[in-house]
Amino acid sequence: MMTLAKKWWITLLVLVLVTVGSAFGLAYILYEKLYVDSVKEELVSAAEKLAYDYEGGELNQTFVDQVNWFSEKSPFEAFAVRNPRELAACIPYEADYETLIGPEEREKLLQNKRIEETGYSERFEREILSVIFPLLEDRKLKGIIYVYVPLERMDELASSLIIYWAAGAIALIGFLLLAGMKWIRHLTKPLKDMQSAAVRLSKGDYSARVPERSHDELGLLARTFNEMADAIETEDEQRKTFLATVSHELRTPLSYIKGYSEAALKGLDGQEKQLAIIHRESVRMERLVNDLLELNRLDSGKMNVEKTPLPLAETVYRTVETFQAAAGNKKIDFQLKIDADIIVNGDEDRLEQVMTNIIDNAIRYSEEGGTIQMTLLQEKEKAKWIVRDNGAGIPAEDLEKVTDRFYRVNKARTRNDGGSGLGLSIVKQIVELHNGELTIESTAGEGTTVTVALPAIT
Amino acid sequence: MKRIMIILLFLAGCSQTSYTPVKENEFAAVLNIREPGLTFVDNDGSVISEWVFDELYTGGVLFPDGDTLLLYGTELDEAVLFSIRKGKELDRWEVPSGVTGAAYIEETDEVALSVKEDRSVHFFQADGKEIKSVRTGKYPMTMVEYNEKLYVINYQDTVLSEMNVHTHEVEREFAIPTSSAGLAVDESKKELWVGGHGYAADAGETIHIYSLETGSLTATADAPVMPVAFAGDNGFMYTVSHGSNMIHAFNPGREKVAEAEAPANPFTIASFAGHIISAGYDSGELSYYEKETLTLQKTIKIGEGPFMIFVKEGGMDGARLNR
Repeated sequence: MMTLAKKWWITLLVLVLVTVGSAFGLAYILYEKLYVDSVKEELVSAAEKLAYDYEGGELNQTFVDQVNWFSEKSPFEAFAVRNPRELAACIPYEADYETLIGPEEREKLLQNKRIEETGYSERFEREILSVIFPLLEDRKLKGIIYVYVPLERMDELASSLIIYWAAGAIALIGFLLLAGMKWIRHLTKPLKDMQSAAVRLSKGDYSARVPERSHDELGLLARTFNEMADAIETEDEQRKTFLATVSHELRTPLSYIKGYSEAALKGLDGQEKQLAIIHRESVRMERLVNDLLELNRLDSGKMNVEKTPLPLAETVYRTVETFQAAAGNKKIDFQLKIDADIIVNGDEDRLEQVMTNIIDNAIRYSEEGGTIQMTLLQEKEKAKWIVRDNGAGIPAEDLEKVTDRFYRVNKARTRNDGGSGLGLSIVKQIVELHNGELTIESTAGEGTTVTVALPAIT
Repeated sequence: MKRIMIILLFLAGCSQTSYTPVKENEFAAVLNIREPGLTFVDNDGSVISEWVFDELYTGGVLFPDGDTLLLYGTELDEAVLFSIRKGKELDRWEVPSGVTGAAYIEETDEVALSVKEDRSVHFFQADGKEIKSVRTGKYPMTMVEYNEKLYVINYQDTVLSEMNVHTHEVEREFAIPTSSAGLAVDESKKELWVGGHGYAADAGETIHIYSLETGSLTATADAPVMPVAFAGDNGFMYTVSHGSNMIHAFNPGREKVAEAEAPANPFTIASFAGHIISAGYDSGELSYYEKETLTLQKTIKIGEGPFMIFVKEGGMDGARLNR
């Protein structure tokens, strides 16, 4: 497998080679530009000075000797040419041998321009740097001054430098690659950590975490990973708790049913009471199971919410009506303040369920002779249904959790109040499905205010 | 029918490039190579007309009628015939590529073209039909016709071929130096003058003179450096040396009687209406000299790269072809 570290390493290798190569190229260009150019300049100057000595007319032997003498004494090779055959004078006749200069060069020289060349010369059988200067009289090319220096001489000079250069380059490449390898290992460490942590997570070890070393993208990734792991762990714990709670909740009515049915079978006294208890507990179980199913549907998004424009006041009246009997038993007084014009986009059955659950809670936790105030009003674009009781209230530390499943404020009171512990969870889910908001405010001993805010149709 | 003919003629006239007609009875036409064209001059040293070509012609021959000019190019596979008087193209002949020289043979009314590719001389009828080709030597080039014989210099060879113009056979070979160029017949002495560039890097300085009767070298004449063209007139022989930019005059006794500086890098010389003229390839100039004394009379600017001169009603004698 081509690991990320390998890819990075190859990238680094390529980068290092390109960098070193370009540096070499640059150095060579500089050498060529500075050194070769300076030599060329000297050649031009020498050729020019030699050409000054030509005073017109035929090129005589004295002049030729003079140039030869210069050639002997100077670091350059120099000679004067007067042979017209060498000077490509026979063009356009086809030459049967290699002339010293070609037709293009002759043309240039005739225009009194010098020629500078770098390259292989067949005549001298080596690489040379040469300068040719014309000796003109009117438009007649009487001869040329040819000054050159073999390039090997310059390359020799450069070769000693190249050894240092190559050594430096190898050392640099080695260092960069070693350092790069360490650095890449350092960089990929968090990724490896994360991978092994992910493996542990997938095998069910939810305590797996990675160290958050840096503040860069990898650090951020590690942090996000840990958050994810936290979330999974919490979810797992919640699931376990939920299961435990559900079992527990089911076991209590079951044990009642089992105990009293055994008593009934044995023919113990008070059969009517026993049956009444068995019936009560089966009803509780039925409700619990129904609520669980409902919640599960809400959770998995299978709950169909069919929204239609809905006059909310009607729903409130109808729901309150169903509680009249229960409220009458506890002598609880309903005080309604309803704005009949409010219309929301919602599912009537679901919203009725929300109201039922909330009013049920209010009645359940109110003392005898309590009051339940119910207000329906519109604030800007929100319809608010507010239910305020003056019952037991909820302690501040529990307030946040009352919408959690099976959470009960009064643990001791548990099953005697008859609730499944899932009501507010269901309410919250339904309200959220309507893009609404559930707010619960309470002071222990003074009462509770539940507000359901839904988007209103205006 | 007549109308159609006129239209056809009109169309034909349109499709051909036309040039300024040259109606003068006396002119010298200089063939330029660097900027392909012809420059016509009169004997006063004035330019009469200038023709510009799209194709590069490297040589040619003026027919004895003084009007028809055949031009060829070494890289072309066509030779083109122009009428100078009408200023237009007459015909195109299909020729082998690599033509290096041309000569008109008056006895048979044929045109001989030397071709370097197949080392042969090709003979054409006046209507452009090829009759025969005969192998001569390596790189046949300069040709001159005299007394029913065609003399051919083989530039990269060491032989000069003498051909019978009727049988087209090579009858005799002369031993000459390689890189020979420039050929002229001295009718009075029945001699053949051969110039040249010299071998390899050595520049030739000598004219070799051969007897037409024996075929052997009879004399040499010094004409440094690189005599490559001749013009004969009234027993005098004029030669141009491109290596030293000099022209030389030899009297009938083969003695050098005069010399003068020529325009830069001259390849051609001709006798024209009482003058000797020579053009410099590098300088694009044409100079007029007095006969025999070679006193410079005039130098005029002509086209770029003059290489060959064709003369009408001048000394079109022994040195008809000036190469």
